[in-house]
Amino acid sequence: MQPEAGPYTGAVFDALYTQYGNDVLRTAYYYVGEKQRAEDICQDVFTKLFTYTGEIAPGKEKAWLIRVTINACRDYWRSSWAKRVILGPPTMELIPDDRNLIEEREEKEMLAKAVSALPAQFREIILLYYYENFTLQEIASMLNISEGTVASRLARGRYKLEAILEEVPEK
Amino acid sequence: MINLDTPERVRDMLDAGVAGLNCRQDMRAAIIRKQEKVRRRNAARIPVAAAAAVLVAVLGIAGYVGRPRTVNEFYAIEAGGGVTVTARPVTEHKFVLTAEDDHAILIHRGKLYRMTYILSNPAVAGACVGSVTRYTENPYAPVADSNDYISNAVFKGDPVYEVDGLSVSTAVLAEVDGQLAVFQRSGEHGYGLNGDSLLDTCAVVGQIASISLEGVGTLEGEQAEQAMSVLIEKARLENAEALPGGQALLITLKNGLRLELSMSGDQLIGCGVWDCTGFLDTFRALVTAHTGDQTV
Repeated sequence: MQPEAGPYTGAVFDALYTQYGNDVLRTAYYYVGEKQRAEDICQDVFTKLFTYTGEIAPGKEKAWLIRVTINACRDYWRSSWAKRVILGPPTMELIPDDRNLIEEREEKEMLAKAVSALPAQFREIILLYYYENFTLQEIASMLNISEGTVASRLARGRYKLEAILEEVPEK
Repeated sequence: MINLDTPERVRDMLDAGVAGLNCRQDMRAAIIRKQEKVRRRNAARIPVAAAAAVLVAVLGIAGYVGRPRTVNEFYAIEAGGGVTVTARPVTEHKFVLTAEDDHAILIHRGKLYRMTYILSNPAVAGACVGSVTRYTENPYAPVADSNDYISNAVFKGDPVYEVDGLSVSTAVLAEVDGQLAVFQRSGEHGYGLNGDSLLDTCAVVGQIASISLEGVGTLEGEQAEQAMSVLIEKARLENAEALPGGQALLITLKNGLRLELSMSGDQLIGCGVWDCTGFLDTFRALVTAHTGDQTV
């Protein structure tokens, strides 16, 4: 007996992949700091979407995808602990397009490296809030934690981010 | 220096930094291949999974019979008015359930407030009663009677407001990320009642629109006030400190503000732990008398 594919196949799948694929990929990249791993995570996330048989509330597809992405990144981050300890954390490198190649490159690099240097629990909140533009309530719902905990982690993440950015010597 | 006060600017910078990273066509092809693999694997697993599910169900039912009630189970009203103990359903009131140790808090003059939720109706904000004087990652350490407003979530200089018509011993509002959040009085980490009573930390008499006890039911208007009076009357302090847990007891005020407490058996957990033997019976009786077999 073959399980039925979920409702997120065919044209629906293609539309969601086109609309949110880059969000998933880039969020994963900022989280894990490795391009190949981010691509693997992106593929896993959309594979899960294809086989998902439940119903995602209309308009919440991006939140669903990013939640699955964060979970996959967390799993990878935990499993790669030994690798990170032995080889050191991945070196975050910018992947700008032609238009953004030079403009404010140093600032962008500083910011990207500072985000990737944050402890994972703060990095994910910073990414969801600043990069993916989710509200505190949405983040709480996605990560299944209270709004108060999101608020505290966001404040602490931001505080740490500012501290890292202040440490970076300006050229 | 990059200014984090402008999320749009930060977003643009982060986005530009990875603008060259895009989903490629070969990635999509790989996803399709993976989908096929997963579908084949799932098809092979279905008979095994079905057998395992049956086994788990049988063992689960056997294990449940005769088991003592735990904090993860709670009272619920059955059809016909009887009471049963059920497993905890999914609840959206994470303040009640949270065991997270990095919750957003605010401390002022020995009173600790826990953030419960972002307010959707800022009209309930009353006068500004101060502003956060110290942001710290470790807010529990400062001196208990400090006149500072100290927080691990509200930044220095951000205002704190009273709730219109509500005692500051019960709740205050503060700006979190540009939105007003409810900070409700709580007893934890060495910060207890600080001389207040339940009537002070839950000063809502005369203002209640409804009270809901998760899994049991909802009382409105006079019945809700009546239940609250019984709660206040029966409450005997057991412990000045405790983190919330059990089943949610939600008090919605006429202005729309919601206070989140919890019940664990006969104990009320809010700012402190209060023995309220008899409250549950009263609440249940009021629910069955006025709403039949309503269950939330």
